[in-house]
Amino acid sequence: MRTKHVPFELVDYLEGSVDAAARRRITEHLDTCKRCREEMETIASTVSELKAMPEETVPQTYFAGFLPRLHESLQKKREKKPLWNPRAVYVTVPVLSFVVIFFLLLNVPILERKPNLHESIRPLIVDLSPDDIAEVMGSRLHGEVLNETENPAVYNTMMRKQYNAAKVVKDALEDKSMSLSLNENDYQGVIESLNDDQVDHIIVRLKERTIL
Amino acid sequence: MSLLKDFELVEKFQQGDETSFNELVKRYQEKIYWIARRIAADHDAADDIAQEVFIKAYSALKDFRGDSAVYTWLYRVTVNLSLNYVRRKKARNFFRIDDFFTLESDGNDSPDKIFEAKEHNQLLNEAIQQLPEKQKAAFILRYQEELTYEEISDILKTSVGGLKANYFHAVKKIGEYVNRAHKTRSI
Repeated sequence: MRTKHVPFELVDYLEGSVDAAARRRITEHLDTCKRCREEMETIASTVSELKAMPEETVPQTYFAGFLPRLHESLQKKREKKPLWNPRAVYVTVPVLSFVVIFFLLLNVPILERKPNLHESIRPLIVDLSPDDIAEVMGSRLHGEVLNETENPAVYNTMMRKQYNAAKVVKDALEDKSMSLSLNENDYQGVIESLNDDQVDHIIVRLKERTIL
Repeated sequence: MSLLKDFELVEKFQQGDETSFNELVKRYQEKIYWIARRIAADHDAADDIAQEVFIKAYSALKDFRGDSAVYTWLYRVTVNLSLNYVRRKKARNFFRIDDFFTLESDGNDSPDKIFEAKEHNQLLNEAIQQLPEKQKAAFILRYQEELTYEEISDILKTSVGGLKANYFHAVKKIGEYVNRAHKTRSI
């Protein structure tokens, strides 16, 4: 029975780097296979020439200096190392771009919404005490404020100070720029008819008089 | 320290012991250099490659999980960097085999014999440099570094059968190159 061809084992065979069993198997095959014998003859001289190749060397000092030079290179690399990880760019750039675009879009008029009267006053009342709120909003918006506070103390304060606030409002409304006049008893109806700018003006006046 | 196995050195290095890294470098610097030197056929290139291998190792070993042996990883990086170097050099149409190395001699050889040996060695080295990449890597790791096929298989990610074929064809091509060179020079 013909055994498997062995060309790819021939270099190891010629070098003597196969185990005893493999050597026996290859030898037996070579005895019966002319093709593999020819292959072996082709490479035999090359293998012996390679074997005869003299050992290459480098100057002794080379390897002695290898590690110190390596540490110098590592130190230089550390000094050159950027503060940020270049790989982070792949994450941060898209995220930052998204955030910037998002905030830019917020300033696009199409996304803007004109605040209603209540919202325009809300920033002013955030920092105010309940009494202050009562004074400013006592007439026109006291119902809404009450609903939000749900605090009877605030409501009582509002009612108590409403009269005084009305005087201030009246004074403000009688300012030249507003060209209005009213008596203290009908302020409620007038205030109900005020536009946003007029309400803002009243608030400014109240602040000037240190009521707020 | 020298009795520690590679993976133990890596563990100590991962725990902050820099001397363990130095030990790994000392353990493998010569093998790394010679693999690079034989593939690149240039001392300066081999030196650069060996340094780069360990610079990469310094970072990579901190996250090394031990899926393969340390030397397998080091040799693989070395082979890849060396083959990249050869490709770049070929692309620039500039490739030479330097004579930085010296041949060992017993000191009794005549100048003619030394010259002849050097010339023949040069021819064999030229032949090795002409090999296709896979055959060249297989030949250098098997013949010159004397690694087992299983080790080379791990390094080059090639089957053992394929490596044996590459090795055989490499030796055959070296012989053909040398024969052609002799014929050409004798004309």
